[in-house]
Amino acid sequence: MICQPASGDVQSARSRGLRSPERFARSSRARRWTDARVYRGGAPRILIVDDDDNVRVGLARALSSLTTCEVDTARDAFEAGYKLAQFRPDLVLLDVVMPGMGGLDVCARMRRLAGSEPLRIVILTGYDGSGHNERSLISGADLFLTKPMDVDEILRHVKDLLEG
Amino acid sequence: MRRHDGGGIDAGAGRSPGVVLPQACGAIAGTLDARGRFLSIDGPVEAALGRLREELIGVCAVRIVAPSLRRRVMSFWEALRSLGTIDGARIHLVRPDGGSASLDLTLTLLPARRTRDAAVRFVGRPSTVEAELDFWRVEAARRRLAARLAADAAHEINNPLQAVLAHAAVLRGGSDPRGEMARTDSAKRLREAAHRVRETACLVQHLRRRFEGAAGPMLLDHLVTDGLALFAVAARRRGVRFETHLAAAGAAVTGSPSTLVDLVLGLLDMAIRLARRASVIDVATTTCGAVGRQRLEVSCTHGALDEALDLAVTLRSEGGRLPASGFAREALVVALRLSRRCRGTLEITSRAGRGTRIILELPAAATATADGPRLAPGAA
Repeated sequence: MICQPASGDVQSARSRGLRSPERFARSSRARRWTDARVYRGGAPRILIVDDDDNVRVGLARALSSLTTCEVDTARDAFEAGYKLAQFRPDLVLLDVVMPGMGGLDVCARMRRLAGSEPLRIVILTGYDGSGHNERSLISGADLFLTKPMDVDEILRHVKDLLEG
Repeated sequence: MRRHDGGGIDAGAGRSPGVVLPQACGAIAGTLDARGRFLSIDGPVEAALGRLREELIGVCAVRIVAPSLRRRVMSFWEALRSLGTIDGARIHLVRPDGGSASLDLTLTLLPARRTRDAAVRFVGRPSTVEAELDFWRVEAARRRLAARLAADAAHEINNPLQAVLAHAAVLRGGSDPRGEMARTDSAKRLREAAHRVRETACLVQHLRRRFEGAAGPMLLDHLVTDGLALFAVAARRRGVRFETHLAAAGAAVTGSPSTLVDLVLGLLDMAIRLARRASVIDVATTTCGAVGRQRLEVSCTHGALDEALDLAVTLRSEGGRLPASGFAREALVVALRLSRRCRGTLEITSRAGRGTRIILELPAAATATADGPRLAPGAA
């Protein structure tokens, strides 16, 4: 299924003062989320983080129609941090160039937030050859892919990572 | 006769297939015919050339640069035909020992008369080390800017291409959980993405033409609107918004087109990169009719540029802190150099907390060319 961005939840989180992934990580809800992840089963969950509306929707539809994965989307760093806790993805497809916090920073913070959890992070960016590859791996990404990439190819990488 | 500042046009390194310039290649002057062949060679180099002088007469001047760069040298001729004079064009020659020599060329078109065909008078002076370093410093900044724009353009193409692939997979898959409505929407989004690719490809095409060296006066308004179109991605990413007030409609400015483009783009790039998130940058063009100059004003009163540009304050001896970013320093130096090449002036006023105003004044062209070379098809 495609989960629409829960803007109400984001607003609610903002009103509660949860203004960054770090602050959320320190909250009691985040601890409950970490505990719950250990016992959760079911279909793998994929979170797509991209500021480009067309790419985000397209990938979400393609992945949810071609796989049995549950797919959710986020358009910026804050929403990604919130969805990381709410949706509890097994794999994150992350864009690099986003307004506000960049994808590589989000990646590093997600990795810190996930701790020892087996969260897979795939960087999917339109930029190539400017050191992003190395920097993404340093910031904790499992894989660096460049756009445009065929959806089947993305799926192959996603499956490898989820099964590996 | 209008003058064309050829500064920055790099003819590149090369060696003639049959002609090797002597080790001590000093100042050189002479005449070329309309087809670029040496008619005469004089100046201090005449003695150094010896027998080679005779060999060079009748040889096409384009042959003394690398074949891959001959097309760019031909842009000199295009500029000469439209502007009459090229001043400060730089040509790099490889010596037999592997070292390089740089000559700053001044080319003047001698129009055809009843008794004589059109010809070109050239004077080449060897560059000093300081001039060479300065030249390459500015060149490096110009190329970095071009590379950034190219990367932005690639990003703008890759993103919609990814959208096209994703939506095509949805349509091909045929089992979308949201049914027909989602498929219709995907088809619509696919068309939108394809249109975006096409628009960006047009921009890239115009950018490519720019590097091939356009000739002729350029309209200041076109430069600004096309520049803003090129920087749309960077501005969106930084959350910066531009307010434009273009009042210099149809006003053309003189100078080397590539230098003018780099100057205006450099200023816009600096404004975007040094702006704070969600700030507004005002860009205005005006005509100073009495003085015969065109004015471009880039200002931000939201405290976005002032801190980073405090170096500008020291330029005007008004005190202030040094900028944290080396980029601001370099960008200012490059903008200043390029404005001088175009015989323009650059004035920067900046005070911490009170915003920054950059005023570029350029000499107006004698005649405004409505169809002057443009960077991009659409406005920002």
